[in-house]
Amino acid sequence: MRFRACIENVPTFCKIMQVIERLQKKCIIQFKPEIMRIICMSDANEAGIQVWSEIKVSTLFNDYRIQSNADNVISMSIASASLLHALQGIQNALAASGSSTGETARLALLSFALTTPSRTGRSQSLTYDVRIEVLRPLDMAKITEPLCPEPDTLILLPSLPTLRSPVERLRALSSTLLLRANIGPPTRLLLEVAGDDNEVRVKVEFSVKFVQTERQPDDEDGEPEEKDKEKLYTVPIAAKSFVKFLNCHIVSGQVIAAVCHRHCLILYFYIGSTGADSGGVLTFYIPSIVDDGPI
Amino acid sequence: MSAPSQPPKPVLSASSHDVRYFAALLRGVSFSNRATIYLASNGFNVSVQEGKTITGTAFVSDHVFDEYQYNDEGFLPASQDSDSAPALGFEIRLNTLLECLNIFGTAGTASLSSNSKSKKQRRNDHDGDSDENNRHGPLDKYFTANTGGTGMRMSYAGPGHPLTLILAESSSGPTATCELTTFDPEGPVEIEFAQNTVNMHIILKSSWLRDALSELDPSCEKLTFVCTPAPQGNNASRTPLFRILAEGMFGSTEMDYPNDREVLETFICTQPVKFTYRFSHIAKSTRALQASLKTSMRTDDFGTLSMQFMMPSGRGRDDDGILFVEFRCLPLDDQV
Repeated sequence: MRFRACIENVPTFCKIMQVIERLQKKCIIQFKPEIMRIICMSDANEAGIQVWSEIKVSTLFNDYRIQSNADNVISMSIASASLLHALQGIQNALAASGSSTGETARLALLSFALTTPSRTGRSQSLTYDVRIEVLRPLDMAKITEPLCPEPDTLILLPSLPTLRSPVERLRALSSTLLLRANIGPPTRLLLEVAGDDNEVRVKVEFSVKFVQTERQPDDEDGEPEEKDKEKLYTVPIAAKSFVKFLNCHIVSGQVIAAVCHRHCLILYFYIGSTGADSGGVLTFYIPSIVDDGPI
Repeated sequence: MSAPSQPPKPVLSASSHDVRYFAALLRGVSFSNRATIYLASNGFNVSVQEGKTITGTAFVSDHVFDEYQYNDEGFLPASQDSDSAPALGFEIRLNTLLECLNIFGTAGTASLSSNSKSKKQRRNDHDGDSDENNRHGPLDKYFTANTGGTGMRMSYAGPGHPLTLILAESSSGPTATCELTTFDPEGPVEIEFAQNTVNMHIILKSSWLRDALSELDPSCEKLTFVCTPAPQGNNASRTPLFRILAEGMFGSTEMDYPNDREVLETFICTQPVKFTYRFSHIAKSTRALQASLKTSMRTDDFGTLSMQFMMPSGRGRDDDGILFVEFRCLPLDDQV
């Protein structure tokens, strides 16, 4: 099992890890020949968020080499803080590369070698070693992406900094946040709370863009007529989870939100921009809170 | 805003293009969460009290709004025996109201102080603001910079109805609708202030008092205001006109204000006056003091302290003095 790559885009990698680190202490990283996946399972964080991300190798790395017995895939469990720490150390380096040594020493490591200019002008080498736990393909098979129904509506979220302030205030008023959106046009996104002691009801309304899906062209003729375009599809979520997702604002990108009525909220964070030239996507699954409110 | 159950004309409807000055008034009295609001045709009073020993009242003049309409026809009960109290009122959770006003993060203290600072510079007013820069985190300016104020439309349909706020940052941006539950008022807690027995009256720039109080150790227990009448004639007296004495577990602090018109703009004192207050009570006025321009302090024969803070109105000098917040505080018994 061998892996070696030059980390080209350290700031982006660093920011992604900052988001992940605030969410969960440990994450799973899977290196594949074309993509890198970062996975956070819900069992280790209280809010129940899962993150499944696919980042194109070309977004972060160059000179990427990978070799393993399992179809050239390496999966590992790693402490988010240690990886973030290593990346932050690299940030002002001239060149950096990450490599994973084999398990021969019975101690799997992801090591980062970098060269920095010293005060005298000569370059000096540094190495960060991060302990990892290599996951066997059998272990990985048990980890599956959550199954979700076809989303009721898909919208392009407003920019995350504009969402941050209202969501912070709403969170101060209530622990449960109601996210509602319709199909439109006009497409509206509503963030609603009822205060914990019922002393206030607040509703923040954004006008957003509806996202046309191109996935099933066959069904497109029939489907739009079936769905009520005015109906607000609602997901009650923990305000805390949404705040955690909004930590993403440090990475520049666009977000498409998929609302599955009373089931879950899926947030696709496209690094850079949406579409084919996106650098990758971080997918956040936020489960719905089960409550007895009106549907 | 077209709920069918509402009567055609609400008791109160008001709008403002910038809620910061309104929020600053409310924040000044937000030492307790329960506030009683009494409405009138030229504005409303927001009163907060704690332990019946300190009251804070924000006088929200209709000048703070671009538009203000009050209509109490048909809402006042016929058997209104007391004719002194303003009739129509409700109780509200003040902190919740403040959170709502600040929903877009543009009604905060940081934005107000930076805004009032620029206004102050225009007036060439040297108001010692050095501590304001330190009061906020270093990142605050990045979050509040380059944003205009939040516009607001507020309405109250009458007893039993919520107070409704509609807030928007810009015409194209998001809008927030807040419905705050109103409660029946418990009746006002008034601390009597005998206007005809005022024995001390000081007006000074708020920064002079703010700097003095911020120097004091928070563990102080008692605060004493000592006033001596201005010396007559030319024989310059050594005794200071106004002294603040703070006593606590770890010692005492004395601060003297000189007999100087630059510092004490108005100083009226007929006889030596000395009253002691609980420091924690006086400290409740800190937020109003920090946002205010000038402070007026008065005591009556019973030692009741009335502090009035003149708040910035955001409309230039002519309107300053219209918006103010008043605190009344009872003295500690053993000193009377």
